[in-house]
Amino acid sequence: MAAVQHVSIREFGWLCSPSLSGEVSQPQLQQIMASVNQSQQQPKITLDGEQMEFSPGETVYEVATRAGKTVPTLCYDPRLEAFGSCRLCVVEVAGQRTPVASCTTQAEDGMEVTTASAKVEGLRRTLLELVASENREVAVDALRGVASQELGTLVEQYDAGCGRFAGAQSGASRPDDPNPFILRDYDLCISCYRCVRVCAEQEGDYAISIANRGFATQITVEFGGHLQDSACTFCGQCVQTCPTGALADKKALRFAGDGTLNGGS
Amino acid sequence: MNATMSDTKTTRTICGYCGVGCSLDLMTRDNRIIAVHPAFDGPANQGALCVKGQFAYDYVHHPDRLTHPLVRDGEGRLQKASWDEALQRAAQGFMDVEQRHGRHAVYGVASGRTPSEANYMMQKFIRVGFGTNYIDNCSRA
Repeated sequence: MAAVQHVSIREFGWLCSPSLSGEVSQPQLQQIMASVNQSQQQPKITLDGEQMEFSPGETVYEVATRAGKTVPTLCYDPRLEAFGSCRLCVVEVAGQRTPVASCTTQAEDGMEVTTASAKVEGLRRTLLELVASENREVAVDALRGVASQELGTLVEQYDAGCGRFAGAQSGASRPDDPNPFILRDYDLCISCYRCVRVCAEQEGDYAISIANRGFATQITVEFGGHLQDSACTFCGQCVQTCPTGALADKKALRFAGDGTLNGGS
Repeated sequence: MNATMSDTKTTRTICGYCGVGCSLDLMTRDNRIIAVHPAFDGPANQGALCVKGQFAYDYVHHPDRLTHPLVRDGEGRLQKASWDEALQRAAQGFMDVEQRHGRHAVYGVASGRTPSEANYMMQKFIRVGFGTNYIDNCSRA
C-alpha cells in the first residue's frame, strides 16, 4: 500500500501562493485536493488478510479486539496503561524480524498483521509453560477473584503443561499477614504487575510495589510488612485484577468454608 | 468453568453504601452472600469498589441486624412494634420537642444514599412541616 502523501501547511501555502503563479492552476488545485482527500482517509491495517480502519493512537491489540480476534493476554487490563510484560499478545507484523507485543505496538497505516500464525501460537504455548512451571497450582477457585481464571483457562486452552520447565519459582506467599480480606498467596504470582498498576493507576494508593527482580521478584508493601500497616485501603482492586488468584478474596474463601483462613485480629 | 461456582448464584445490584451507585454482583450460596464481585460494566464504577462495597456485607446476615421497628416501653426497654406504632411515636416526639423548645429545636440530616426525590421530600418536610431551615446533608452533619 502506498504511503500517504501529506501536504504540509508550508507546501500548501507555496502551492497557493499568488506571488508565484498569480492564481492556483487547475492541475495544482487537483493535486491539492487529492492530497487533502488522501490525508483525511481513515488509516487501515491488514489484519489476518482483512482491512481494518483504525484511529491514530490505537494499538494493534485494540484494533484486533475490536475486529473480534481473540488475542490471549495475562498482563493486560483495559483500564490500565499497556505494560507488555507477559508477551502472550505477540503477533506477526510483515517486515518485522521478530513478533511484537500487540498491546504496546501502535497501529500504523499499511501494517500487515497476523494474529494467530502457527509460529506465534507456538510461542504463546511456550510462554504459558514457562509461567505455569512456577506456580504451585494453576486451576484455582473462582471465588478468589473476578479475573482469577485467566491463567488456568489459557493453560487449558493451549494444553500448556507445567512440567517442561519445572524448577525455580518466584514469589513466596505471606500466610503471616493477619488481615481478614486479602489473601497474599504469592506462590501463584506470575509478576504481571497488574496489582501494582491498578493500585497506582486506578486507586491512586501506590500501596503495592515490587521488590527484587528475576526469580527473586516479590510483590510487597513498604518494608515487607503487612497490608494493614501499609497505604492499602483494602478496596480489593488488586484481588479482582489478579489473573492467577495469587491475590485472593480471603473473606469469600472463608465464607465458602475454608476454615484455615483467619478472620482478622 | 469452575466446579465450585456451579452452586453459586450471581445477582446484579447497586452497592448499599454511599450515593455513587457502584454496580456489583452478589455471589450467593443457599441464599447467603459469600462474595462481592465489582461489575466491570458498571457505569459508575467500571470494576472499582471501595472496602465497604467489596468486603463489608456481614451486616446482611448479622444476628444483631434490626428487622422490625422497636419502641421503648414505660421502663425504657426496647420492644418490638408495628410500623404505624413506631411512626406515631416518632411524630409525637418531634411535636413535643417543637412545642417545648420551638421550631428551631428540630434539625434534619438528609442522606447521601437516597435519591434526589427523597432528599427533596426530606427538606420539604423539615422546612414546611417544622418551619425551620435547619436541614443539612450527612457529609456535613
